[in-house]
Amino acid sequence: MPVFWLGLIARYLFAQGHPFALLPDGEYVPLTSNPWQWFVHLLMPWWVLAVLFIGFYGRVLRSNILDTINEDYVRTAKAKGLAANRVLMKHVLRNSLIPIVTLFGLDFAAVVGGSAILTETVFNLHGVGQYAAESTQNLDLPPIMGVTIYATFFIVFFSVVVDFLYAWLDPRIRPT
Amino acid sequence: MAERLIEVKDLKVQFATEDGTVKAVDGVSFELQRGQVLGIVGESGSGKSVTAMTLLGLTRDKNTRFEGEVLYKGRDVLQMNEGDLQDVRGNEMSMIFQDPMTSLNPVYTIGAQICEAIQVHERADKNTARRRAIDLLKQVGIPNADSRVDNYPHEFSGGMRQRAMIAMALACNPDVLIADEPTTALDVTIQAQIIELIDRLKDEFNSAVILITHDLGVVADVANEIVVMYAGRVVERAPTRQLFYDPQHPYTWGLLGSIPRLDRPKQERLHSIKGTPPSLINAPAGCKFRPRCPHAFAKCTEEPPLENRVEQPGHLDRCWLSVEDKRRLREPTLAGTEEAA
Repeated sequence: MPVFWLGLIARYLFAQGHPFALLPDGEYVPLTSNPWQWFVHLLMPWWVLAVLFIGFYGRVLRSNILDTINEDYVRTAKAKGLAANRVLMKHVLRNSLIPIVTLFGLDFAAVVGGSAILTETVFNLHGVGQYAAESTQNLDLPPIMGVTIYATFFIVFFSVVVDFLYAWLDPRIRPT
Repeated sequence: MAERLIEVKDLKVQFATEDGTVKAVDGVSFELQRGQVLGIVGESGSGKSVTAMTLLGLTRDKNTRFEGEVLYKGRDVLQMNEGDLQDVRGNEMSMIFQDPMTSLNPVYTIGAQICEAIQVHERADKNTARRRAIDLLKQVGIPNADSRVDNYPHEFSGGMRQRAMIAMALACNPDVLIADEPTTALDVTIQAQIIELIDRLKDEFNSAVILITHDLGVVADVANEIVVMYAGRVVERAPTRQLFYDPQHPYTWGLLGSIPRLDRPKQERLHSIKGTPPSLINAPAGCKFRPRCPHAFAKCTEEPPLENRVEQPGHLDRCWLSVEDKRRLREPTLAGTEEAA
């Protein structure tokens, strides 16, 4: 689903009064000037971004769970007398989360680092992505370099976070 | 008379698959008394694991059909709802699986996995459960149990993991312990220790054991009674001594003959049963072992019933040959000088 389409539909439905006008229509309010308005203004972009990713993540998680559910230790957990829910939440989910964590780390870093440019444009948020695009059009070199370093920092940073999450999820990865 | 814990009556388990209905278990009956060890022996795909898992209701699925009865202390496991079944699993009947490498969850400590079994069935706080887990690990012979309890499965060796599995299975003091090929994935030196351990703990915990294996040598010392399965059916069932000294079914002969023996002259090749087990979708008509049996004759196209044919009661088999013929024919096979088929 393209974000410019979903974003526009969301604005039409929830911001412009057809049928609700619950949320502000685009624009950004700095967190420091009004935290509540900041939150309300960003609610729709967040939601739209989440909807864009949820299908993909759902599909990956589903296939991971289907792989894990046939493992011998899941049968062991059932044989212990655990309820089906508990087997799923405790024994299956934890083992299925590892690939999800990888994806999430990289996607999150990319979004923070400016790849949410279409979302920014639709909701009229003058963010990093737009800034980078404008600088590229104007061949304005220093901002391009700045944005690149900024994005790189987040990619590296979240890769490290993901590595720590791995170790937390799976003790086999921990150094001995 | 010991208390009868399990009674399986004419159990049939069928799986519906794309290729047809798999008759994994086809009319199996046996019973188990407290304090007894029942050995179930057979090749891969003979239905022994399915039988064992059905006892705990682990084969339940929308594509599975059951017939017959599995009575645990008079209650039919096949008819129980999931909730009642969860109370039985781990608490009254528990199971040890074949491969200790994959049967423990890699992301939780050994202790946590044992405590989980305790806390599901008993109101025990964390500390009590933990102390019980340490005691159990000591009982199954894990050194330094106090510190090992916090190790993860990958920090244990294969034999230790299987010991931990046994500790977990015994956590709630079950009446019946089902060991599904507990030694198959371990090396030979550990095998004897594990079997001995199961046998000793059976007495300590006053329970009964169903020991599933494809190696008659494993059950010879500990089992009271042995059930030999082939293609989802019981082909012979007898007290252990009877089975070893007077085996009646040609398949049992083949199994016995394929154990390498030091007290017999050395053969060029290790003896084996020719052919492969039949498909359980289109099983051969008549005796299921007929296509592989060197002694098959005209009557074998008709399925022989499982009945007592020898002098000793309690020794049942499924073979049309007369007892005299069997005793004569089996000698070369048992000695390993002739291929069974």
